[in-house]
Amino acid sequence: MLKEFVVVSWHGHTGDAGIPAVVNEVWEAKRRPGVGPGSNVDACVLDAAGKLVSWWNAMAPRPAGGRGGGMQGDALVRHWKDSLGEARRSLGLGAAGEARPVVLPGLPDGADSGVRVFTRLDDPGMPAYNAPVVELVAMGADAWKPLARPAKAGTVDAAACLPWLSKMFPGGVMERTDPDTKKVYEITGATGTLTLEPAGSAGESRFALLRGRVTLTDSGGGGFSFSGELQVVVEFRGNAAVPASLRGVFEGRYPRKGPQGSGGFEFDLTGVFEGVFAEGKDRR
Amino acid sequence: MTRTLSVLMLLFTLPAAAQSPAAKKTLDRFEQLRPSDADLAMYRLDWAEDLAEATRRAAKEKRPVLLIVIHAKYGDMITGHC
Repeated sequence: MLKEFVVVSWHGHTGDAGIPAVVNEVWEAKRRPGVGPGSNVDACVLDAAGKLVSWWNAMAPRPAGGRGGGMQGDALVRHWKDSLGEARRSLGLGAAGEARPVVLPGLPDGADSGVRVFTRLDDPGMPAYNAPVVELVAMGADAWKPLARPAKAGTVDAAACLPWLSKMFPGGVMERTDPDTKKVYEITGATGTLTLEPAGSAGESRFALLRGRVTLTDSGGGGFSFSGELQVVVEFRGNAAVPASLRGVFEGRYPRKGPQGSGGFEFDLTGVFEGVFAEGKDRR
Repeated sequence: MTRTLSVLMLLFTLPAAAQSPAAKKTLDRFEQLRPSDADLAMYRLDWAEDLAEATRRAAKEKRPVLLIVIHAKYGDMITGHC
């Protein structure tokens, strides 16, 4: 139902400088008697000229008789379908066509290889964290050097893999965000001794396996860290220094605290890594 | 007989096991954990970096905008790594 739309998010507080006019328009409407407040997330549809066509609370309160909190499950899906359907009618759009294809972050201009990182946090209380976050790290020749084809088993300092391990953290973790700049703390440290060893061959392809336990730390300090097991298969063709493909996973545990620093929980954190090369998905 | 010969010929033309058992296990795990297109629905949307870019593109391409407004100090949805 969103094929024709440009999609964007905005966040801020009442009283912030530079609040877009359309956001003020929605917040004023929300303050009218009998309308709000609902959740703190609203969806707005604008026409091509930027004029507000319609808006709705993203997680409207449950119908009368329901228990507290916002809509969930099928009711929430219906709420969005109905609201979007109404907006489409107001815009004169026809029936919703087939969805757009999945487009993942690709290589930036000038880069000819990279590692795509998928992360997922299994927090049972927050299903949204199950949705994968995908980022791509461009890789130059130096970044590939630690993964050079091994003649025999050896070790690799996990720090040498930091360029692509730096995206190995879950999305939306408020307590690991700078309270002043609102920017997420960056992963700045990777420790651990990994093994890199030959792992078979097929035709012109030679395989290597990188594996071991990695501990990651971020720029927020406070003794925060999390760990997991990393295993990555790298494929080489002939004597090429840059791999032909890279496929691997990280499986670890991620500690969380409540918004006020309360509580303490650990959840499964999963990462998937795949090499991306200018010629195509990889050089297999 | 023909069937038996065909199976034997197929066996001789298959490459040897490509990866070590540990590497094969890693690749199997990769296949299990890599998100499917169904998991990646967020990446079917045509995201803009910010509202200014969204409205500029909407005007140029004559398209509507879906704006998600989050009343909070956190909420950058563009990568999900907010």
